[in-house]
Amino acid sequence: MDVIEVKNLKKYFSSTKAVDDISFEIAKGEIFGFLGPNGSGKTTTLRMLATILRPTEGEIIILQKNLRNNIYKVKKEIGYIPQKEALYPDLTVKENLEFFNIGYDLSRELMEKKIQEALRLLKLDAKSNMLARTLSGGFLKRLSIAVELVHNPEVLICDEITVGLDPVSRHDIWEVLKKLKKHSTIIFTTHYLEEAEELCDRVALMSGGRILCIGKPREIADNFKAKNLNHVFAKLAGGEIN
Amino acid sequence: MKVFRVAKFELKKIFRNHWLVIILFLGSIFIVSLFGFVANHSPENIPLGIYKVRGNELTEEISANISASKLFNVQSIENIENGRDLIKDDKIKGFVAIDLSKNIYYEGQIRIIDDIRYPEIQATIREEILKRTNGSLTKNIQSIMNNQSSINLEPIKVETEANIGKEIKYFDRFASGVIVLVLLLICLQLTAVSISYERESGTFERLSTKPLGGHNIILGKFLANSLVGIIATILVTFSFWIFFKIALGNLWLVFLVECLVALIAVSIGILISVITYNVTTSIQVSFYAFFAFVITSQLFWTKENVHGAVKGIIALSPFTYAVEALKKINLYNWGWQEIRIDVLYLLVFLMLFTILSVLLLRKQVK
Repeated sequence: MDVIEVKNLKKYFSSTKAVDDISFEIAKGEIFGFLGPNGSGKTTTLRMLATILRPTEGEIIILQKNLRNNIYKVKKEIGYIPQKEALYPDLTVKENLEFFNIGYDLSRELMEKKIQEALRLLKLDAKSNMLARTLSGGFLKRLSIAVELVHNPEVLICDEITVGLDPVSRHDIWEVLKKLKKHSTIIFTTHYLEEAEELCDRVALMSGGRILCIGKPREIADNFKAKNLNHVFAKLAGGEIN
Repeated sequence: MKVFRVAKFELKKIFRNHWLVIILFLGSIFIVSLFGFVANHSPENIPLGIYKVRGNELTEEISANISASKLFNVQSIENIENGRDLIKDDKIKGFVAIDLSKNIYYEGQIRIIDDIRYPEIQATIREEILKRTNGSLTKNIQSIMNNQSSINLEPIKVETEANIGKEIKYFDRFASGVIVLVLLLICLQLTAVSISYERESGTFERLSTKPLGGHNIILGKFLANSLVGIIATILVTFSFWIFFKIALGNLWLVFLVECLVALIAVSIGILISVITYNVTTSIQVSFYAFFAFVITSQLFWTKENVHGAVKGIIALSPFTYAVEALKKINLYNWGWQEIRIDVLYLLVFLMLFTILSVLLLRKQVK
């Protein structure tokens, strides 16, 4: 079953075509990656899926609900992890989790249970009473992910969430995403191509606001007659990797 | 209720930001003190020149009376030109030329020439000189009229309406307006960047993906910041009362109006933060808004003084009604009947600004 259907999606910022007529489907339980050079339209696509931006044209259907007239219902089913941590530094770890989940009508008991689960999964339980401003960059990223797990989203949208992390932290987050795959469909953008190869069931390669191809990372590399996605990326950017 | 839960976390955010709280409350006490001392109005040693045009008893008597005033530090001047030069050199703030014959009924004049740059000092000089000369002049006229004390020497009598059985000091006339402006300053500082900061830090974008609704965000922020505004209200009022013993009327009515002022200022601050895109712009707009409200609050200029084009703006400023209501309560001891229309206007403004903020934010949080 397709969890997300996108048909002829366009987003224009005055005369700039940020996203230009793209269509794709994502199945339940998939990890779907958007790849492409800067300005290719990945983040704009993600922000439209996350209900932050309104499409200029086209349809987004998430869990059989058209975003155009079911935006509130869709918001209840999705989680959006931005590239920037976007947390409240003067609230504790636990308070951040509570605050961002006020809108989901969780009972006090269920909220507490889900918070504890999220803290354990992200190895934040020892830091639950620390102010967010005292956390290191790696733990802030973990907290940013934990915020979106409390309401059990069916669709998790991640925008370059491993940027700026050390290799160990990145691998930890990969493991978390793999665990989350059991319950959620995950869409993410990344610049780390080995990350896409490691995690994604399928990727969409974007350039100039359009999707060039969609497929498994290996298939795409083969289509471009490249060793791996790094070489595909270099070809798209007009360069070459030896 | 989601609104109350948002408000609870907003309060935590405010009170954990220790510098914000310290600057907010100490800053308000500082401004209150500064205003109070600056507007205390107990002038003394105003440099004043006296030019005795003729040498006679009456001139000496009046000159001695003026010199005896604690308000003045008197020096003799040689002639009118000398007096004008001394004003120009900022050596004196004015001078009085006493040009009286022995019999002023037939001949003579007292001229007061003062410095246009200092209207308040001008008023003080004129009032004090009139007071100090009146007795000698009255005696002189009575002696000419052969002690006919039945002659009315004051055909026009000016009295200010203050029949309230309490002493109204100079500063009392400004204190109500200053309280309103200090509250406006505090509440604008508190809220003018509330949404724009969230926009810059990315939390607003994140919140906009949640099923929380713009109204819950705005009303939650409004409730939390209003509570801080009300604490500031109590602090400011008591600071004025403790330090400067300002005249206060019915305390419940004073707090009712002041709390409405705080709530309106909070809603204006939130509105500014909703319509501005980043923190810098929010601060700029809030500064301009503050000064616009200072100018139009009738604290310094009443609506009769202003240009016709600005009269409408004054009527559209909520703080005009707040200052008016507080003056009625504090200066005249008037009650609910006299301020209810002002309170009604304040409630309308409060609802207007809050609804406007919610509607504009709803457009942004789809």
